[in-house]
Amino acid sequence: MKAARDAEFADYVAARMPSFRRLAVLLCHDWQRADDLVQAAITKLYVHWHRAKTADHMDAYVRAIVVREFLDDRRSSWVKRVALGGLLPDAAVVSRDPDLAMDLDAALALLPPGQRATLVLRFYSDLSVEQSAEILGCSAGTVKSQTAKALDSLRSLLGPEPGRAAADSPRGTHRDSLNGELA
Amino acid sequence: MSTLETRLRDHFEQVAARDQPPSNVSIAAASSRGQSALRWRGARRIGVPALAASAVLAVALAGVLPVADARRPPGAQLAGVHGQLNPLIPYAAFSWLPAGERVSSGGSSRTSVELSTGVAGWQLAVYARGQCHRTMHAPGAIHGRPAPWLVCGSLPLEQYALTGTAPAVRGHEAFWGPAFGPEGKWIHSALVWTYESGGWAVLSRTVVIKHPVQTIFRIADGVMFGSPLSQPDRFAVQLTHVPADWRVSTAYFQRSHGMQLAYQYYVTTSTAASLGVRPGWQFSANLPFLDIFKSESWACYFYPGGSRGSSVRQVINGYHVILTHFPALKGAYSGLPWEQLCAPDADGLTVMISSWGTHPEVPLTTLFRNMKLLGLDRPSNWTTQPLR
Repeated sequence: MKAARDAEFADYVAARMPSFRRLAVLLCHDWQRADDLVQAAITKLYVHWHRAKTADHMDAYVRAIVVREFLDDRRSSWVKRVALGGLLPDAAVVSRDPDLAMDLDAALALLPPGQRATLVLRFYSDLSVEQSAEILGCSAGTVKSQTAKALDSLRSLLGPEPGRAAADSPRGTHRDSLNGELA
Repeated sequence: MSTLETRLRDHFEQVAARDQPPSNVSIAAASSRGQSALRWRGARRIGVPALAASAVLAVALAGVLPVADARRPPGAQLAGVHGQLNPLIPYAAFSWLPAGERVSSGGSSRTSVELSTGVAGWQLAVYARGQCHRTMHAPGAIHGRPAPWLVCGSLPLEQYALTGTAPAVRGHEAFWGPAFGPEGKWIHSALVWTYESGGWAVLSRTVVIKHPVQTIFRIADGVMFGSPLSQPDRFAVQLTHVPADWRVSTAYFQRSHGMQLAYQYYVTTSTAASLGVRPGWQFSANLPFLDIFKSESWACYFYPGGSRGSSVRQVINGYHVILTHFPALKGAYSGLPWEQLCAPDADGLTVMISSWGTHPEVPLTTLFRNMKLLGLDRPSNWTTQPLR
């Protein structure tokens, strides 16, 4: 015997799990962290299940939880320490790899979490500026400016010749940039 | 659209299309932690007193209070008979738990009982006689998992792979049965045994502990079935003037004031069919289910209309209530719409009465009007008879 809540919840989450994980890994760039993120998000979903059921679009509701959980997680001091101590050296100069996708991946990993989330919502989830703003909890203008900044940063990181320019960027610049974001 | 935007879209699509590695996400763990969060929230709502006071009350009440269930379903007694348990009195109780552990929450239906402890997260599930069957193919199984299975319900969480023979529990056959979670992940090891012919019990834990084998057997050996150790659930409200054939089908409780205080329960009748695509769902069409917890002003929502729901405000017996009609949920509850009466502060309680269907046997407003509020902070007033 399980509460009806559990039955519905398990059915829904099991069916949508691949989708949640896809979104999470685009945000986190790491499957382990993505799974942690999804785990935290679906736990929150369980707590708010009754409210989620009345949402116009439950997938959108969950997407908002995942994104906000990602942003909250990135804001925590624990993540700051881990990011600076562990992720940065691996992420900064990988662009000698001729695989363009890897270069873009690495560049995305260097973006501040908010900008990365904005790009994922706009260009993966195909959300409008207004829809993205609702999920991110900011104004439409902020979404526009974040998108513009993120694209500028990517262009700067990737350079005119995608896949090579980032290798030429001074590593310290990346570190400073990330430090500035996370501090 | 710029080249970079196009590249981004392509990149995201490529990443999303890649084969996913095995998932480490556990739906069962999310449920368990979510339940803990709700219990914690509920405990704050209900105002759980100091442990010492609870323990004293629990001991006193367990031995003194009578088993009072005026609405006991026909054939349902304290002990399991013909697969029918009493939803108002947990059929099982622990006679021994590790130091610091105690039952913090649980639930009972006519077919099964669940008890959860607070620290190590011990979970006992007891299934009434005839509720489980052994099979070589579990309906919810991922292909390739070892057989045989003990299937006690259609949910993956209620299906146990019997992966090995375990030492007998009080002379009854037993198995090791890691519970099978969604996404093909074993969520925790479990001890599965028959406590009587055709009746199964499953004891599992959700955290790593020292000496798990010795501990799990000591706990299992001490589980009492249909024992006088079980105390009846208490209710902080009572629905009065209800039809004579109404019964509680399932009740969930949390520990409060040393008692099992019901916070969610479902009404059914002997002839009502449960809703949903699977058996065992507790909801019955046009019959109420209730959520009761310590008053919180934000607990009730007003829906001005539209696709989410449509609310009206009323005052009943001096209490403000919001009555909301919700549209049907796709693919659930036979496609029925539902309605809910929510009173954010009824004598210190938030009361939610809900019902699936468009023709409730008794209007929700009438139910609330005839509801006796017994006081959340007056446990001596709580009743074991939620329907009268």
